[in-house]
Amino acid sequence: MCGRYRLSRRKQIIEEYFQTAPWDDDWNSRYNIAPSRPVPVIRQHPKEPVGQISSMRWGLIPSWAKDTSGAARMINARSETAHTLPAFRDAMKLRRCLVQGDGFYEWQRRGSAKQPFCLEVSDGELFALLWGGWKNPEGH
Amino acid sequence: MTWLDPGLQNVAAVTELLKPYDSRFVRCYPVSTRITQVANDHEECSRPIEVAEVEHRLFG
Repeated sequence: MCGRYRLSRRKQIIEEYFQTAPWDDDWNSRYNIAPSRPVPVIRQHPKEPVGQISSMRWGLIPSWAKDTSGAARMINARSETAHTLPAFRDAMKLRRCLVQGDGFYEWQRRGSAKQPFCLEVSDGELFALLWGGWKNPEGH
Repeated sequence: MTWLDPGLQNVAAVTELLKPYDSRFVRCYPVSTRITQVANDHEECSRPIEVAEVEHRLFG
């Protein structure tokens, strides 16, 4: 499960790769994206069958949540179980997006220390790192 | 793209779209522990470090 990731590629490359509609905002290369931070995601354009980049906070907030405090925990959904979990099921059905990234980090415990590793796609391709940085019904 | 298509609302069909990425195409290498601090957001965070550096830190 991933708790940090990297988006080092620039917006122009993402737009070209995913053939998205133009987006005015831009971003700098990011090497340490953490939960609850705003991240660029791709959703379907509301009127045309193309993708559109927008900024959303990383962390799912279920519709029944009273506040946003649980969002930092709901950062990953497993493809094997997401459709069975109440928190993810509706979002999986109705509110999917692509979170673009080009690497992510994992920590491995070795004795008393923890060694971080970077995992990246070796041929330089982009990949959809997390299939599900979903919005809540209020759109946050 | 099918995944983004709002018309697709069959959860079983959506789940079918999710395929594990072929791990043979993933490169994995140790990086500096600076990544652990959220405030560190720099190219150095994903620079490969030498195994010797890792072993020195862990076992030195």
